[in-house]
Parts: sequence; structure tokens; C-alpha cells
Amino acid sequence: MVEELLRFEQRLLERNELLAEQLRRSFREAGVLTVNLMSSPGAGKTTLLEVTLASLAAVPAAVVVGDLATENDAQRLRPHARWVRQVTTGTVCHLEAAMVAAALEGKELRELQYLFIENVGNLVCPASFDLGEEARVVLFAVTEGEDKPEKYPPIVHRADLVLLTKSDLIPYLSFDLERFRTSVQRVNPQVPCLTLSARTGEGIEAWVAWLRARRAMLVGEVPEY
Amino acid sequence: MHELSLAMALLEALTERLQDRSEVRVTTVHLRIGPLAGVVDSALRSAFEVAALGTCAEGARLVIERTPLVVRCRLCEHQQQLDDANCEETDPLLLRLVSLPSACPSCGAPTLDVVGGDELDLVAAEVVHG
Repeated sequence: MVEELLRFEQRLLERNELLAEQLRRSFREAGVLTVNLMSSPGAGKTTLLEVTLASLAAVPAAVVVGDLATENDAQRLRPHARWVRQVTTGTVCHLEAAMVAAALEGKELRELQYLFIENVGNLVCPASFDLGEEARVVLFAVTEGEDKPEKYPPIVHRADLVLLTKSDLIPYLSFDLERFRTSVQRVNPQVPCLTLSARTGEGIEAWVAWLRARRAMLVGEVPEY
Repeated sequence: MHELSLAMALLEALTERLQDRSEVRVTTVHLRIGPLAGVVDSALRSAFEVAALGTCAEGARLVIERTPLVVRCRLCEHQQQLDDANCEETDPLLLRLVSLPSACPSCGAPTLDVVGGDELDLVAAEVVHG
């Protein structure tokens, strides 16, 4: 019996990370701002996207949406987007770069300005998988409670923006906005945080302005306000 | 439960390296995992146990080295290691993450960046053959 030690010294998710880097390069070259939207199920990702796409109006945007099953979200979003691809992951609890690459097959990125990736509803696993996005946006609904961010620190820690959704429900809850902001800051002191409601339109303008500014940064333009 | 995806990625890396060496069996796998990787050791172990069935790594032991969180001040570059992050399960590490110092202990500036702790590395594998 011969014993041998094989050195690897590599990232375990190296394959995903290399593919994500490739995707990020192709998004940047095409001038597409790619946003990875993550939240627990039911925080309002799809509803926010409907309103966002409507606000962006004539600006060409596409969506890749992940769920374990059904085409429901894709059907909801199709009227508002240049194109929508539903990824059904079966039992996989997150999207991986290879799934995004497959969903983009045959699509011309240069026709787009924005690509939204609606991740599988889950606050744990999506945090570990780079999809080649430019920005990671994490949503929390007011119904989830003020301390949700510190209960799921890794995803908040790597977020570029935190959105507090369904703000129209605040009058019916005992939701402490300051307590929520503190919870976010404890995990990620620098991340900006916007409060919005897809139903009343509160905060949507600020969110769309954030998107426009991020895209302007990407393509090296001065943002229009 | 992305530990199953991680176990599959681990197995892929091992079998790829050993594909031309059918006589080789993996006995021990060394991993390095930081608190930000969000991995529960016990879940990874059981996922790997199942994923490795019928492969060259069936029955292999996972040795997991837990790395600490490292924060650095952007202003004075003082680096601080949060050592009590070195423990078996993720929960205490996550608690450590939400109680990070808000200011640099050296210069007092509120400009601390987390610079270490997201490790999720395959370090080495011990194999036997012959």
C-alpha cells in the first residue's frame, strides 16, 4: 500500500467562479447591468420586477428567473421584458453560473441594457454562488420582521443594496424601521438601504435611479437624473 | 442545503484529478472553510458521504480547517483576527459576524473591511494505491 498526498489548493467552487467571471466580462463588454435579486420566498421579487420593468419602459431589459418548478413567474414578467427565461432547478435551492449561461444561450446581450436574475427564494444558499452579476440586491419584506438581516448575515454581508419591500403594510404591523436599519448595518455597515412598495410606488423612483446610476458607472456615462 | 452542491463540486475535483488512476482510493480530504462560506460541517459531511458512494472517494474522511474572520482598517491598515471564530459549527461564527467591532481598535475610524473568512478551499487529498 502506497500513501500519497495530492495538493489541490483550489477554490471548491472554482468552476462556478471561473464561469461567473466569464459571464461578468461578457455583460460588461455588452454594457449590460446584471443584477442578482435574492430574498426568501414571497418577499416580492417578481412583483418588484414587474414594476421595475414598467418604470424602465422603453429601456431594453431581460429576466432570468429561477424556481424549483413552474413557469408562473416567467409568464407574469413576459409582458414587461424584452425576453424572459425561466430556469426550473428541480430540487436545487439556488442558481449557479452554468444555469445562467445556459439560459442566455442564443440571446444577444448587446440588445440589452439590464439583465435581472431572480434567484430561487432562499436567504442561505444563493449567497455562495457568483452568477457573474454586477450587483447583488437582497430584499426583505416588512412582514419578515426587523431582525431578519442579522439572522442571515452572509447574504447581507455581500449585498450591494438592501431593499425593504411591502412598505404599504407598515401601518398594519408593529415594524420598527430604525431597528431594521440597525440590523442591516450590524452585518454590512456600508450597504445602502431603500424602503419601497411595488403596490403604492413608494421608493420605486429611488430604486430605478440607483439602477440607472449603476449602469451609468458600468458604461462610463454621467448618470441622468 | 447547498452542501450537496458543494459535495458534488468536491467530488468532481477529486475524480477529475484521478480519472486516469483507477487503482487509487481517496482516504482523507482536507478542506479550508471560513465563516462567510455559510457551510455547516455536519451537513457537508453527510452530503459528501452520500455523493461519494461508488466513487474513488467512498468512505473518505473530511478534515475541515476552520479559518477566522479577518478585518482590516481601510485607513490605518491595522489588521485584526477574530479568533474565537475557530469552532466546529457555523452558528457561533455567524454570531461573531454580526457583532464585529464597529470601529478600528487602533485608530478609531469606522472603516473596517472584512478581508478574510470567505475561504471554501480544497487543500489536499490523501490517497492510497498499490
